[in-house]
Amino acid sequence: MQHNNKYIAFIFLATLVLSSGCKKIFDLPEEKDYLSTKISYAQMAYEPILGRTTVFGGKFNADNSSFPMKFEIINPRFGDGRDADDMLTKRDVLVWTAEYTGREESLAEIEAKRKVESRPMVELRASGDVMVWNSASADILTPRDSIILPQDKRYFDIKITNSGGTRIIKDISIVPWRERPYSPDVDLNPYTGQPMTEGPRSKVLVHIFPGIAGMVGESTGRELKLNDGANGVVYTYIRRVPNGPGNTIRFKFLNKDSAAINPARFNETKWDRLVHGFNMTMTNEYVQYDVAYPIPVAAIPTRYTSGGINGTGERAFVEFSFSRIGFGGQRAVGRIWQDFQIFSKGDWEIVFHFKTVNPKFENE
Amino acid sequence: MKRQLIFLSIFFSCIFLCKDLIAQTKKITVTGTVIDAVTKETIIGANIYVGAGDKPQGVGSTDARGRFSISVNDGSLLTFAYVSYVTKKVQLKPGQTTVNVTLSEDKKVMDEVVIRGYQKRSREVTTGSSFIVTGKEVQDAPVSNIEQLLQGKVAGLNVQINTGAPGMRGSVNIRGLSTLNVTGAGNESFLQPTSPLYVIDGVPMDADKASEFGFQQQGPGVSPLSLIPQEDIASIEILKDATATSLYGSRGAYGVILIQTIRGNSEVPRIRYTTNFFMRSIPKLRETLGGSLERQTKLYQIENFGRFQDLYGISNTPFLADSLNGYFNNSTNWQGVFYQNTYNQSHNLALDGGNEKFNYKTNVGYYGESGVIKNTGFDRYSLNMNMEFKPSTRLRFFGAMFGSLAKIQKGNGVGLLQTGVASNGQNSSLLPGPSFFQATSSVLSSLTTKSDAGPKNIRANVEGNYELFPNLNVTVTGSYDYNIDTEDTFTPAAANSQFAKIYSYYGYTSNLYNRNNISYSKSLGEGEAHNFFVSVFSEMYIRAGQSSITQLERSPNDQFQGPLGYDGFFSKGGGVLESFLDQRTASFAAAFNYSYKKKYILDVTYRIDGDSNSGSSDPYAKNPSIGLKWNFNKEGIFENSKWLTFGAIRATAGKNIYPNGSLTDIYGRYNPNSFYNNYPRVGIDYRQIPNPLLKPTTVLQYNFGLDLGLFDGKLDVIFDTYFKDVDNLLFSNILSNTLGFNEYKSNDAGVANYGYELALSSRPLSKTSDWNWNITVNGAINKDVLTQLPAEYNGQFIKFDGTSGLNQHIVQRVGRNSLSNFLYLNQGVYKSTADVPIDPVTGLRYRNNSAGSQLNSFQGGDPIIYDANGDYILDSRDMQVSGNSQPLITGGLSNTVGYKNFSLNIYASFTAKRSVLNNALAERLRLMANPFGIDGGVAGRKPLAVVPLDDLSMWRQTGDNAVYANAYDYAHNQFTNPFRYEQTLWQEEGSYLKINQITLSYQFDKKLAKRVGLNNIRTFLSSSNIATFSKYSGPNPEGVTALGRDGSNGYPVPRTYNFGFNIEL
Repeated sequence: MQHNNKYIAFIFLATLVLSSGCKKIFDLPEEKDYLSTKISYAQMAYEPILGRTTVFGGKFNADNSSFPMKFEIINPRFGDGRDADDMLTKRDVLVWTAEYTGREESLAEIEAKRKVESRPMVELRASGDVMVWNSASADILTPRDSIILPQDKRYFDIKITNSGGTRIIKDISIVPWRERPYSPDVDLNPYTGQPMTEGPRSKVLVHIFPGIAGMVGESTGRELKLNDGANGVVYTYIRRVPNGPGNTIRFKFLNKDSAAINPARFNETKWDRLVHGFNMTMTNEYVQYDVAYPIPVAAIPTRYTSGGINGTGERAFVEFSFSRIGFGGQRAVGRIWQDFQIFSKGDWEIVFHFKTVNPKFENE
Repeated sequence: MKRQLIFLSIFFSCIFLCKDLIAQTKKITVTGTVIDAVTKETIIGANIYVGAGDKPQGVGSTDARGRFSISVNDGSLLTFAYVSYVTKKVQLKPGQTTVNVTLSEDKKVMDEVVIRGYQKRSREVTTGSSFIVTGKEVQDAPVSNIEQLLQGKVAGLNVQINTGAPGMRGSVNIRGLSTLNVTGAGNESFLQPTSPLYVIDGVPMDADKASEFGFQQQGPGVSPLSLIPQEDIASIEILKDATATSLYGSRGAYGVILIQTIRGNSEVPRIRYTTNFFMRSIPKLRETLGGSLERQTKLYQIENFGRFQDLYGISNTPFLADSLNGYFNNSTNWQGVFYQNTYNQSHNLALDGGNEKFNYKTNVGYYGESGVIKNTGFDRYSLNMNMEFKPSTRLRFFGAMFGSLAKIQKGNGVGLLQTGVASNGQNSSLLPGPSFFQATSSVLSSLTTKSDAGPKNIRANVEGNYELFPNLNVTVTGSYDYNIDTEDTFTPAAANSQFAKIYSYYGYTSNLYNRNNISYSKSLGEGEAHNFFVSVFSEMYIRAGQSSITQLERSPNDQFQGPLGYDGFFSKGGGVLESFLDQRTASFAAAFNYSYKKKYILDVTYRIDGDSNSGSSDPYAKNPSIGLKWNFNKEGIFENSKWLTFGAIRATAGKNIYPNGSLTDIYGRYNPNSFYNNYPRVGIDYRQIPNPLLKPTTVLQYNFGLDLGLFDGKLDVIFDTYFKDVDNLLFSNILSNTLGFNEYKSNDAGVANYGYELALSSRPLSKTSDWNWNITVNGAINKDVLTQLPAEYNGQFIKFDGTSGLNQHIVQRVGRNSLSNFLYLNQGVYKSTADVPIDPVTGLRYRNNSAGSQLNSFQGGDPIIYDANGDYILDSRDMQVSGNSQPLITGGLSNTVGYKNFSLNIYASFTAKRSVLNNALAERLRLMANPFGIDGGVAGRKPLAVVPLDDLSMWRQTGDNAVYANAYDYAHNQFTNPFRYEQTLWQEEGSYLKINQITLSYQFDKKLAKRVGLNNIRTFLSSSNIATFSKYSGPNPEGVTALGRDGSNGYPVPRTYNFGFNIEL
């Protein structure tokens, strides 16, 4: 009987050995993440504008490699090989923790949705996309001139890792543009930061124009034009106000003598919906709000952004209007508006300058 | 009395005294035949013992024709024993020299007679892994294709009956996946079938030839298997491992199924008649809300979820607003227009007779089935004959003829799909149904398309066998198989935008086959301990086929029904299709078998296969195999064991091939390219670069098996484990666009399967009981792993679905199961908008598609879809590999209870661990996306049905913990697309347990039968496809494609109720 048991034991042992772990016996491959040999960046040279948070989204072509992957910036250097890891310096930036809706009722409520975090100026997102924070400033990232010398260009490589292996994408370059703290910024020379002229040797300045409609020139009696000499010229200036608390925006109107027009004369303006700001103060010279910067704080369409809630939400929108009894006794509404963005926190004013002809506020 | 006493005393004196006086007793030669009591077939290898008591002495066994000739003492007690048969004792009368013995089966798995490499052998001395299904098991439920009845009967044979289309086949695989070749896209993506090789009465046949081109195939698409009447089948043997299939090498890589048809075997001619009357009933269809309920649901959607403009839209959409208009005031059941219950019948008449010297069989059959979708059906007429002639003991002839003709109606569907019916079934119930005054062209095209299609098949084979010297046999077999497929489809003008359409198909395939075989067997040593068997044979195939089509897109009128050519513009032609086939295969093989006392067995085979579908540089493949078996129950220690009836351990290894390339893969395709300088030019087709190094698909398989018979048939166990390495798989490598050619076919892909198979069978009751109870259970686990892809793919290949609109891509990744889905990972539904993640950098909510529009933002009630790359934008970068479209576990169970003349069989099958993409549910939820019925920008042009969604866990308000997003919120859903097809929400577990069949039969008393002049009457009631138990939320987890896609355009599998009877004259 013992002999018998031996046989049975042998059979079972043989069964066990042969039936277990084919994967090991036959050396089958293990599953790994896929890392394509053809992964690439659609954009190798990045030209961010300093002072603005820029995400270069969708540039990394994973060629269906398996996410999540690990992305690292390695080997930051100048074109001549000097070390350039100062561009990875961490600075405090604001990151969102909850969604901005445009219905917040105080500055504190908006600020509660953001928090300060310390992040490198140049960063890679989890998707591999390159991004530059608004903390990147000219003191480290020297802005480009009209000529870029190779030794001044900043380069880095990106190391991409998942369980399928590692790839390195080489020679990604960053060439920053000088800070333009607001938009539209056609009045700023992107190379020098000085007022923009019409050409390199021209002395004629380039200006921002607002949008106007329905206004009549005070002295001409004709329709007020944006840029038509005697029929009217209207400029927008976006500029800092010195000595403010650091979170205000002010709107101002100047007449052809550069004297302030009382904003109250724009009597049809929806002052409470002008900007997402609080504590409106109106004087004879300006109207001012406490606001959260940047403006708009996020690219979310709200009643304060261009196009309203059906727009893209990328630019703030202000409109001032007044009504008067026009020619023939009909009510004429005059409007002036401006799309804008302000990237740098501070005290700003937007000035509408009726350069040659003042608008007519009086009834006919 | 006196005489008896004398006899007795002589007898006893013989027993007691003859030990020493053997020379004095008369030696006689007894001859006879041993046959099976039921099948009347001869039994080969039955052992004959002489003498009584504990230790009878073996004196020989029956030969290959079931006959024996032994030399024993006059008047001996003979014992006839054969494994799995009840032992029978026969007392010879003095002077008796012939004994014909009938053994009745003692139902046990082990030791049937099997055929290996076209030679009959006792199963005991074969080493391969195989399983036999008797002909009896595939009767009693009328089917057009007997494959269906093999479902769940054999461990490792995975049959999925995924279509109910009459005459069509499901999918059949032995031991997992053997291909990576996927054609088509979406619900119509089609996995190249890798059906086993069928060998019918020794003649190989291709079951796949009708389905080479996927679902959208041209021609009737009826498998040759559907042409075999089930009543004519004597046995089906499934060969699984390399040693069993080695001698079918040149196409045996996917496994081999041997089908034996019934042979004539009765001195008195017998006539058997079998008939079935069966009803196919409509399966459960999609529930829809009809009439007013539909309108109310749509208005509810618009009023609660519509955008401002939509409220105006109501009054501009008559079918919503104008409820009093008779045209829009209906409650039409559109699905009912297409489906019907059908009543069908089949008849089969079999005539057989003959004896040892000459026997014959004729089988005439008719099978008719109307499909549950109107205007579909299948009819088959077959005539099948064979005869065997043995003028002497050394010479034998066998001849068979098989002719059949089938007719299939496909409606306006193509093959397995009924797309027209599926899309029409979604029509709004508010619209009036088809009537005398009103018809829609799509309904007409489904119901009035006339098709006259079907294969006509004729097959003949002849086999001659001559014994040159004792034990040296020469066999020559030849067969010819010719199949014509035709289809003529006419779509009347009313069904096709006012112009009649004509389509005509003609195709043929032929297969000439020859085999020449010499075999020699010899036994040596004491008690014939050493048995040798050697066989050498050559085999040759010539296969050819060509098909062509003609199409006339617009015929002048409804009376012009032939594609005769009428207008050069609308006559589309068609010409020769890509299925062109011209193949030669030649093989040389040798087999050697050695057994020692039937205890230790060695099988070695070697085969050289050359075929014209392999690259011209080396068309020959060498395929060896080796098998070992140890029948350990014959060891001394088990000899007297009460509990071990038989026991064997098998170990085999071997290689097989399957030629997969086509002529264009090897030689390229050359097209006439008009003229240059008045010379005609022929140039290569730049779509594909030829590959002269192409090899056939190779399967290397290791198998280890254990057979156990315990407690004298109370429990039989067969266990197998295997490793199957499928290599040199055909793979289309896409070439760089700078190379001139688009792609080439390589052999650089490979799949490995490994798994375990277990079959248990038990007859727990005593053999003498009036009750008869038989249980069988089998199951198989098969895992497949992709082992190789062409090097340039670096371990992953995605077959993108860019055409079907479903975007359900198929991904193949090395190290993983071979066919996975490439989808978005659905992780539930956002309870509220506050739960949607915010991009910390931009402050934007997680969005669909692009950051461009706030409307694309997800909100409460939207699906949580995994943002794999963390950019807070849901796009194709976030797709992940998931799921396994191939089942991991398959099997079945059968329970038969008999009492006297009654017998009740319940048989079920199961499939588990498989991902099914429930596109039917996706479609159901997507029906809600368009309450205005907007088509081409016009509201109300294509109103769709509305389905009840109460049974689903759907998000309705903030805080709901749901599975499905809010389907009613159509206005928002157009931006976030929550019911996109390409997500794991639809990827459900497709496990199921199906009650395949319940059969109750009654065998009338013989006496009663005799009284009405018959030999035998048996009636049976059966029902098939009775119930499916599954957690799957779609209609049927089995009714999905081989790639696990459950589209709603498939053909549902009906339930069948059958009444049938056999009578024998």
